[in-house]
Amino acid sequence: MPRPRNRGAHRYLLGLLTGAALVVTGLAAGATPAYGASGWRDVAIPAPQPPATVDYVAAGDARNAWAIGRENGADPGQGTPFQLRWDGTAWRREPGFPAAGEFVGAMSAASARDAWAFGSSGSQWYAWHWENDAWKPYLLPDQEGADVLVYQPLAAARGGAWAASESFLTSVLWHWDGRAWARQEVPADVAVFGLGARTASDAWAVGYSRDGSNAAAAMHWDGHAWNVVDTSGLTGALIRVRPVSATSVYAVGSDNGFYLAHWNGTAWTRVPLPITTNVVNAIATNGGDRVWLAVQSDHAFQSLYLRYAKGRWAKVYGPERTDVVEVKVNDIARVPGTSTLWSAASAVVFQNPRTAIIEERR
Amino acid sequence: MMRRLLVAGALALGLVVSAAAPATAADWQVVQPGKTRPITRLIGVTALNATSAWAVGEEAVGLSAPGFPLIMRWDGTQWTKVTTSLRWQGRLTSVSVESARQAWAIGQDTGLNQHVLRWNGKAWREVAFPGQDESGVQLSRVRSAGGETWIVGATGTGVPLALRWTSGGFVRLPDVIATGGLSGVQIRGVSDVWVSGFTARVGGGSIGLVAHWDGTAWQVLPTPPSCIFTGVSDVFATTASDVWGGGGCRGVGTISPVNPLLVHWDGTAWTQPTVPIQFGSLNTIAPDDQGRPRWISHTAFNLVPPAQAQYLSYDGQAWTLVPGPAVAGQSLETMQVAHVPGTDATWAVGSAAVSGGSVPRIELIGSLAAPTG
Repeated sequence: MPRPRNRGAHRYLLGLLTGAALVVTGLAAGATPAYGASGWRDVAIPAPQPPATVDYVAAGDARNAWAIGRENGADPGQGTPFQLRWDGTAWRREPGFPAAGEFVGAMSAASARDAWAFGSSGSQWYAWHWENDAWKPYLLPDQEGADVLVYQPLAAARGGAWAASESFLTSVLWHWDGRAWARQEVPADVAVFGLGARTASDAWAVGYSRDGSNAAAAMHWDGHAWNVVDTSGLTGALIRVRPVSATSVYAVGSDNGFYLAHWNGTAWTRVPLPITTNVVNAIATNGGDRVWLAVQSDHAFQSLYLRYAKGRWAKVYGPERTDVVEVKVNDIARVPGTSTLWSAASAVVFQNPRTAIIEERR
Repeated sequence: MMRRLLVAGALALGLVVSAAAPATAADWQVVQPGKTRPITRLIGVTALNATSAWAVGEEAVGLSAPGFPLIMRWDGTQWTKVTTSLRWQGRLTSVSVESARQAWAIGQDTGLNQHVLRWNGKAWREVAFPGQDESGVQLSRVRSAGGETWIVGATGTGVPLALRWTSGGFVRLPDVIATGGLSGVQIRGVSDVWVSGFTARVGGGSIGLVAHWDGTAWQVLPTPPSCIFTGVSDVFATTASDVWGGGGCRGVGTISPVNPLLVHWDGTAWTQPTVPIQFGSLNTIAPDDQGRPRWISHTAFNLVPPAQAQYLSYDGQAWTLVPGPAVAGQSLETMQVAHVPGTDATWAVGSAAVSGGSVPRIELIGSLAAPTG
């Protein structure tokens, strides 16, 4: 325990220096905010009506990224959804989506042509596909049994995508084969909490076994079928998954706390987190074996990411924020083909309502 | 809009002026604390003289993140945050200054490890103490006077803990009693130290505890007037037959109110003067420049937060209620007092509740400029 704490304090002191630099550059009109020592920076967005948050983010390429937030309400189930779009230069409000009655619960993109949002409109489940500068709705077929409790995963690959809903009794899994959505059978009684796709023929679904074994579960899509993968040694549930190669897959596990799990092509192993945390909201990779987790920050005034690479963890703080008493990161997206990361987040300035923020690391 | 700005500017200026040159005042005045990260709470205060005082607490306490230890310093003109090299998160709870080159502070980190800091004239440094690695040990207060430094608290097994600074470091003194804890200490000399706290009662609850150290052994006074949960937070004696204790009383149940407890020992018996405050507990007793008890400060009962600080003022005969200044939109959480040696002034620091959290509060009464005759 002392090591991470010391490291954190050290970074805090380092951060004080970089924070001062940010203030100076911020004074120059139009200046690009400097990247802090940690590499994360705040990227300005058009201010939504507070309280507000950014819940989801997805990036197709360097000039196309999307984020979904809520304004006039930031607590779960409250507020009005809004969309932001990154055009390579700035985040702008993109009206028209989500329309009234539409709720997005996940976003994922493998390219600017393979960008998806997943959610509901009225009482129906939809996937929206980015086509001709707009989100085109696809009504998901065979919705019987579909419900969402906590997790509503979505994974996009080039030419393929998956979406799942999870209820008390069943999980419903949908697959986009490049032309149409269809339901897929889940080969085991598994609650699907997380989806991750590398290609149209290499995808993972993770969750927990409903057989009462209190065991985490993982399934792999090989282009033809879903196959159960042995998860011996992983307890609780896997809640997120990110495949980076045929022989390297990372997942977030949750039992009494949170852990990272790694698949080396043969077996899953458990990797303890360097800190005790109540919240792991998101996972991303750099496309290789560098993993980022968004966790509950132990600093009031900046976000906290955990970075894992080559068997070593680092606590990486986001940019320091003046008078902020909480920063919550909700989602992280990698810009495909790069190591650039976007994170969707919210921050509370002391004595003010929650505000929506976006952070970036190049 | 312009008018509002001007008014706001004037108000801000007024605060700065009052901070820069506190007026001689019969009333408690707000003094502006230096800039800190929200959410900040001050907890402990100590003064060396008119131009040197320390306050400790916590800053950057998040809605879901722990804060950082905070040290602020008064230089005769303003309070400013002191940069430290502390490598932990948590809070500092008590501070005591002995000279320009010696001051002490204690605190807890988020792992509930206790820390003792020593000011050497240039920097605050961590100091080890016996029992530091024991689980559950808690340090409550540090006091330094006349070359003596004491820290009181409780061990992880619920035994009152008294530590005394010697040339060889902190040494643990014999146990006052078997079970309980200490929260108050007054040093009158090497062989004249008073402590206060509580004695745990068999079967639950606690009774008040006041004891005297004569340099060799403890003498525990008869039990002061007590209730179901009793704690004597601080003790102040002028002689062995004039001992004041201030603390709190609570009944059974989680929302049972806390009521102030003020007790006096005349060498023979305890009396319990009426306290002109209904809720909360008394936490520190500060003297005047002649060494007579002068002010007692108060921690609010959080279900009945007062708009202003509630100080007890002693005129040699009776304790009366003197409210602190009211600040719009704030209610007082807690204040602690410290006399400013060489003056008739007293500092009080603490925190006030506002919408969205807490803000630090510093108040001053008396004059820092004119020495008392």
